[in-house]
Amino acid sequence: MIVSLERRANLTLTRRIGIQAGSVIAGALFGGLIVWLSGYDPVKAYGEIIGGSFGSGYALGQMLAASIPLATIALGTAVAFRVRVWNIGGEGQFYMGAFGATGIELVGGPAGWPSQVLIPAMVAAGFAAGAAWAALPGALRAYLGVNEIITTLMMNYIAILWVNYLVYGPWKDPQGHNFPFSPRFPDNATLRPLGLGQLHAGIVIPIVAAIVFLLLLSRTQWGYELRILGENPSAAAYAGISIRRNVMLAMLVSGGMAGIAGMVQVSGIVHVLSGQISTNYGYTAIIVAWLGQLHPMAILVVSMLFGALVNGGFAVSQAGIPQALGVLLQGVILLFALGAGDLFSRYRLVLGQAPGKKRAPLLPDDRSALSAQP
Amino acid sequence: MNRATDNGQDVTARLGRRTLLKLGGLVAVGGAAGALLAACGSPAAPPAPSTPASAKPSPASAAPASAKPAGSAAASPAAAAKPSSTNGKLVRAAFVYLGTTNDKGWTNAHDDGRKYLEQQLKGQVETVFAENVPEGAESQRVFEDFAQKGASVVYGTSFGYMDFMLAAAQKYPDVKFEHNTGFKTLPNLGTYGAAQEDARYVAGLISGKMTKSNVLGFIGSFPIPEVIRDMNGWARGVQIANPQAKIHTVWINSWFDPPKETTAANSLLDLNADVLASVTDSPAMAQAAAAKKRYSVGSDSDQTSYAPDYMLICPFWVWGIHYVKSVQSVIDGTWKNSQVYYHMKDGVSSITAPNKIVPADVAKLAEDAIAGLKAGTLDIWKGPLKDNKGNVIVPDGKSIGDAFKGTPLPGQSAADGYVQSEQMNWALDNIVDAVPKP
Repeated sequence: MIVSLERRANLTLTRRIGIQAGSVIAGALFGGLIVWLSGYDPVKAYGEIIGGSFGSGYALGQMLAASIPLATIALGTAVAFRVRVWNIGGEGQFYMGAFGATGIELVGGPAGWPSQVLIPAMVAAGFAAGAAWAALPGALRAYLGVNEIITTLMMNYIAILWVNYLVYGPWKDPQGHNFPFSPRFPDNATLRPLGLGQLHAGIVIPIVAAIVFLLLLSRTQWGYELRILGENPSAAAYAGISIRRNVMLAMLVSGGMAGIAGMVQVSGIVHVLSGQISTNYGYTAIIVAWLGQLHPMAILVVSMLFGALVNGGFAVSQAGIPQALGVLLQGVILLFALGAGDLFSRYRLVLGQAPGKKRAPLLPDDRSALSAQP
Repeated sequence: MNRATDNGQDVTARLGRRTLLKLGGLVAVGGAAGALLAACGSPAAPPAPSTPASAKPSPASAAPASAKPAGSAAASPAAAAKPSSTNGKLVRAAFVYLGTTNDKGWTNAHDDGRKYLEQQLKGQVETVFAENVPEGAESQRVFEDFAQKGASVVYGTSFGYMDFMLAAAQKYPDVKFEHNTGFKTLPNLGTYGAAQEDARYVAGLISGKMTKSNVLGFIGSFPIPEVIRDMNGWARGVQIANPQAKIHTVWINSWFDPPKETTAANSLLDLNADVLASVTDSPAMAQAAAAKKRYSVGSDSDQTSYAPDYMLICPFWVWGIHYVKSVQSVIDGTWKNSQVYYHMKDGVSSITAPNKIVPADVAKLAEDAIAGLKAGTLDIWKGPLKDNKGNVIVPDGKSIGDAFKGTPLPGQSAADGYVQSEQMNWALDNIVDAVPKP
């Protein structure tokens, strides 16, 4: 008997969700096996992970708080990915957004600006700084054809080093005993806590952004252009849609969203600027965007699952299971979700000889394999 | 554009399965919506804390010098409020670690302390810990998690946890927090530290005698007072034993990063340094030095086995002594938000015996110094002390405590107040490189 992979026709949304959920469960089972083989109790481990994110109002709050930066960055990333602009600079744009917001905070915070003024100003600065950071690789791509995958990635390191320079140098807290943190944000510069764990008012940002994106994409001409561009760039060019303009716009929006995420993180959770404000949110958000099939609402759901994974990693280690196993569990689940989930969303296993010429060949037509099909 | 049509004619999906999947999707979306609602809605439902604003400490009062009256006055009622909360069940003590418990250095020393605590107070205490917790928002999450899960006392073992611990302590006023090496306090947040500079001084005496090139190297993590005083303690020992020796420094801006520690060690070895010391969390430096047949001074845990033929001596911590005392006071209801600072005589700051490769006369020098430190007759900060910019820090006949202009906390000497304050930001005059400035 021959086992072969066969390309699927377009999948329905429910089917896709089913496949993804199935891969996550398969990953969880495999991870559990590893935990068990290492001599720990997998039931306890998963109990901690689930309880640590859904077991109480507090746990829910922690899970949602962890999902805010992921969802915010991923929503922006999805816009870029839809026009096949591979902005993987979310991490750097996140840091730049935090930098921009902190710049305003350092002026308005100690000066006692009311938070109704200061917070919106910080959001705007976060957006502007993130967008500006993305504009450079965006322009290079749009006008000179420079590969944005390389430039956005490289600019991440520059952004992180820039923030490090500031907190080791001019922005170091004079009262901080030489530790590389900015001064702590005063109350007027922090997002209001909502009383559930570390959850704060910044939760509205990804929710509002998701709704806005949904409407933009489905109800406006720009959304229409983005869709055409994503599905068939040459047809779009033929139809007179400006690719340059849309590449720039997509970069600005995705960079700006990552910038807002940086602002929300420093203002809502960390309350200082430092070189450690992100635990790879910008990179994880890429995975979130893909798993969410670039769909705004699906991205919200996926980012909550990732929030649960982040939380679960800490919960596992608190339950006496080595932290390395917690990280391993996350990795295994991810690998299954991305590998198996993505593979079986596009292909199916066929037992026996694949009959008929109606079926598409195994080798993917790269374009459509890479392009998003929301 | 052709999506709509495809949707309609999905031939492969069977009806039953589709309905099921749809249901699953609905449940997921519903759950998500519920979660959002729960998040936006009633803040009263969970046992979550009041707004931090009500318990806000003024930043000024957090400085050790001025916090004394307010801090200790507020402490007693807070501690007395629930003295019997632990009766009849195990006291849960939680530990938050920066590195892994097997880093063979800093975190390892704290985890040994945790195990010692479990052993000493068997039947009265249960311990939990989290490792690899970064000095960012994640740490506050972990502190709050432990408080939420019924810990009576939470220990944070890295300097950078300070503000996140402060925030968590504000949210959970009934839980006791202790911050290792920090200086900010609340009625339910104390600090603990130990004079490792004493042990470093002893190591410095040996290092100064053992160098042949008269060039030594020091690897610092972050240039905060706690690390600087260890550096200066070691440098003072070197200076006493060998006034000609010079010390080069490298700051790696990380607590635990073995590859970086190795690179820093190699750069110092390339400067012809033949004795290395460090305030970093792993034995990587000692291994790098041994690979080039140069001497090293260990730190944090007994690291001799990592360079058995080249490690001269190894200062290490015995945190268990503090943990037992602290948890016992929680059990007794006498816990206070004190700022404890231990010395060699207390056993918390300790040091191995000199390695067999150290000649007997040099070892004797070290052993005499240890005896003097334990007896309180030896003061490593006795003047004259100059920094490497020519400023006189401590004049002849004075000591560092005399130079301290603040008010030491109860139970602290003026020198303890000095070393815990932000004032030590200078490098001794036999150190070549400047301390990175605040």
